[in-house]
Amino acid sequence: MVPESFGDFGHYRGNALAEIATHTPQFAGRQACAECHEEVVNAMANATRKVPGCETCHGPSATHVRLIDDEDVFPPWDPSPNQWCVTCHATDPSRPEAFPQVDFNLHEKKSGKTCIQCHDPHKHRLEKKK
Amino acid sequence: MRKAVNKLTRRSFLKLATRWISAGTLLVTGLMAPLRSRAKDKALAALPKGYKPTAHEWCMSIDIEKCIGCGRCGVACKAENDVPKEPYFFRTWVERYFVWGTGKKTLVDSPNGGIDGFPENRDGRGADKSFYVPKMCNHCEHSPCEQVCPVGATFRSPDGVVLVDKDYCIGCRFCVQACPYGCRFINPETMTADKCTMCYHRITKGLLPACAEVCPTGARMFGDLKDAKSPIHAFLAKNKVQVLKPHLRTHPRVFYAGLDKEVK
Repeated sequence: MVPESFGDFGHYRGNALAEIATHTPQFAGRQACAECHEEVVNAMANATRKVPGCETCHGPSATHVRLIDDEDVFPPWDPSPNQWCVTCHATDPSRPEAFPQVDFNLHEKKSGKTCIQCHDPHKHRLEKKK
Repeated sequence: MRKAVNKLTRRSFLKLATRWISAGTLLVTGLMAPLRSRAKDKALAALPKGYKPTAHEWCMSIDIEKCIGCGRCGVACKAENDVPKEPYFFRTWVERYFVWGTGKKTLVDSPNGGIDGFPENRDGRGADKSFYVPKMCNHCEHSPCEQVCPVGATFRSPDGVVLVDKDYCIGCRFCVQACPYGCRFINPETMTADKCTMCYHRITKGLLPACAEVCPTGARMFGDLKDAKSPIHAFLAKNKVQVLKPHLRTHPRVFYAGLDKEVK
């Protein structure tokens, strides 16, 4: 009646630990990105925005890492055509004041350009794109 | 004179019986011990290579002052853990608080768990302070959900993660009611209890939990209390940290810095 491995670590099935651990990760982690995209990861490390991981903007990329030798490489999501910067940098009174926020309607109207035409998302936030 | 040597008196019987019983018990436990440890080794061997659950004590810290309410954690969690896409099923979510005065009025909202961002809330206009609070399973040391589980399907692993054995869960919903933090739900696909696993499949492989991996401001920090090199120690030492509902004595393993008293 007692299932196998019950009570190995406590009042539960010890094998449950390994079973839960078999789930496949969807996010590869930034170390995996650095293996091929070293220059971008290094640029990020020297920028003021050190913290965002690659997959914060590019989406879950474990499949991309797994199928890298495949001809049909699953591309990570490209955030540039979308208004992606708004997700974090739009003005919001609930956000911490120190966090850089901008009124996108005003900012874009004034400059007549999209964010990444001037700001390089992989570099220092004030550094203008060449 | 009576010869009492070979006669079985009550005293000699009790003496003999005690000796045999204790010898027998020692023998049986002695024989069982290697079997037990072999079973344990088998359960350990099935884990990712070289991972020892007893060598870790996982915990998470959340810095409220850094959270911008982008909801990337909730999105990543859903993608990573196949959390049902319909609304209102979350392993982690973000709440927005509006507080007037010294707590005379508090408004909390979390539209779709914050995963689609937070549209402006007109009711929150004029609030004296407003902030975001990410929520998740607190992986309590004395977890109420574990205590009420009638079948031992919910447990706290040796590395300090509260997990659900979905093959063993009978879906009785006791744990959903017991959790004081509202962190559990019944998965509509498996009809078993579901909750944050601290991405157990990732941390056992040396990766960060998905929410901590994608957090753009570093508001979420994941660490190991048993590892002296883990950055969590510096965070806990340098910040004034608090846990949710400390009066319940659940001893959560999710530590908040900059927590407001209105956050429940």
